[in-house]
Amino acid sequence: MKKNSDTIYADNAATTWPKPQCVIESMRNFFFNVGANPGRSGHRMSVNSARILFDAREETAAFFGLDNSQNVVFTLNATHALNIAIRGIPKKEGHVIISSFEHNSVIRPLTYLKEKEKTTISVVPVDCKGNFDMTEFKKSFRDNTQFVVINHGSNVTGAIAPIRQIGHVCKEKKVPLIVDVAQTAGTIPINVKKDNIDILIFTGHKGLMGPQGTGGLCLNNESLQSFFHGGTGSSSQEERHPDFMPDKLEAGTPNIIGIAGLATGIKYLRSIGLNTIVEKEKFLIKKLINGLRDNDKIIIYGPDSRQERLGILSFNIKNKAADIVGDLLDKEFSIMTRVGLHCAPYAHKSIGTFPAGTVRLSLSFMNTENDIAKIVSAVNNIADRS
Amino acid sequence: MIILVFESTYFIMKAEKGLKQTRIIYNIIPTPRDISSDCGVAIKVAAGLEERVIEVLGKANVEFTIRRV
Repeated sequence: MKKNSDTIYADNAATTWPKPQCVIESMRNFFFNVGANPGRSGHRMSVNSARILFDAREETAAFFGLDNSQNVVFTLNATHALNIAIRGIPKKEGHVIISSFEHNSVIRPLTYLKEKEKTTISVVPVDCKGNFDMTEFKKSFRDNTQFVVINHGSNVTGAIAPIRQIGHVCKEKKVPLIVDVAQTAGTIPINVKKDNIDILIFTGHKGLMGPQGTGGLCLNNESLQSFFHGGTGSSSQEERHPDFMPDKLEAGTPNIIGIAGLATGIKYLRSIGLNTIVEKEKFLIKKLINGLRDNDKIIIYGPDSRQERLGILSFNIKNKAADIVGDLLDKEFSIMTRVGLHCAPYAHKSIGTFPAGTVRLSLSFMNTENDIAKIVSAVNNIADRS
Repeated sequence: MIILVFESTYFIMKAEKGLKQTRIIYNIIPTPRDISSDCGVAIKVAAGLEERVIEVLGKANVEFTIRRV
C-alpha cells in the first residue's frame, strides 16, 4: 500500500499503518466476490465465507502454536477478548494477580469485578525500566487466586514481560495465565505451549497487520463461561446458547471481511518471517534512541539500551508539555505520534509520568531509515527551541 | 447416498479439509429439512464410501453423525 510520502506514521502501537497490499486485496476480494455470512446459509457464497473463517482460525492457531483451531475465538479487539476471558472465569470473592503495566482493558473489567464480585487484586510491581518483580509475584499467590493477567509488551515503554518464567510459575501454582499480546503479536515469537499461556489475547490491527475490528482469544486447554448469547448458525432449534467451541464464545455475525484481512496479514508475516521483522524493528528503534539520547533536553523512558524492547519509545522534552510536542510533530513535521497516558495510567505511574503523560513514537517494520532520520531531526529541533 | 451431519460449521470446514486431501467426491449441501440438523449445511457423499469417510474424518478429529438417505 502506498502512503502519502510526506506523512511519517509513528503510531503503530495504536494501529499499524500502512497495511500490506495483500491484506487490502483479500478484503477487496471478500467485498466483491464473497460477501455472504459464514455458517448461516447453505449456498456457495456462504460456504466460501465459512471457508475464509475456518482458514483464519487455522492460520491463527498455527501462528501461536495452538494445537486445536477450534479454540480460536474471534472478537472485535483485544479489549473485547479480555472481557470474555476475565469475566468468563467464574469468581466470587476471588483473587487476581496483574502487573503494574496493565492497560485499561484489564484494569476496568477487574475494577468492575472488584465492585460487583468483591474480587481482590494484587499488583506486581514493574519498575520504570520494565523489570518485573518475580519475587513479589511468587509471594502474591493465595488460596483463592483464580488467574493471572500479564501484559506481554508495554504500549508505553516497549518493555517486554518475562512471560515464559511467569508461565512457569503459574503452571507450578496451577493458576491459569492470561497473556495480552496486543503489542507483541507479529513483533516477537509467541508460542502458547512453550510459554505456558492458558489464554492468549490478541488484536488483529497492530503487529498482525489486519484491519481494525479484529482480535480474539486462543484457549490452550482452558474453558470459559460465555456471557454473550445469540445466533451462531448452529443448534438453531435450541433456545439455549451452544456450549461447544467456537460457537460458545462467538454470538452474532462476525467481522468476516476484517477476519479475511487478518488471516492474510498473518500469512504475510509468515512469508517474510518473524525474525526479519524482529531484526528490522530492533535496528530502527536503536537508530531512533541513538539519535535522541545525547540531547539533554530529551528524557527517554523505559528499558536500558542493553535490555530488549519493542519498537516503542516514550519521551518528553524538558519544560514542554507532551501534547504541545505531539502537535508540533504533526503540524510542522507531518509525524504522527500519540501523546498522553496511552490508556495505561498504571504504567505511567510506574515510570513517574502520571498524569502528564509522554509522547510515544511507535514503529513498525514498514517504517524506513529515512523516517527515523526525519523523526530524530524533528524531535531535536523542537527540543532545542528555547 | 449418505449425509454427514455436524454440530457446527467449524466441523464442516474441518471435515472438508480432511476430505480435500483424498479423492473422495463430496458435496456441501443445505441440510435436508427431514434431518434433524444442528448446522445449516451438511456433506453428501456416495454410500459406498462410508467406511473410507469414517476413517478420514476420524483421523481429522471431526465429530459427526451419518444419515443414510
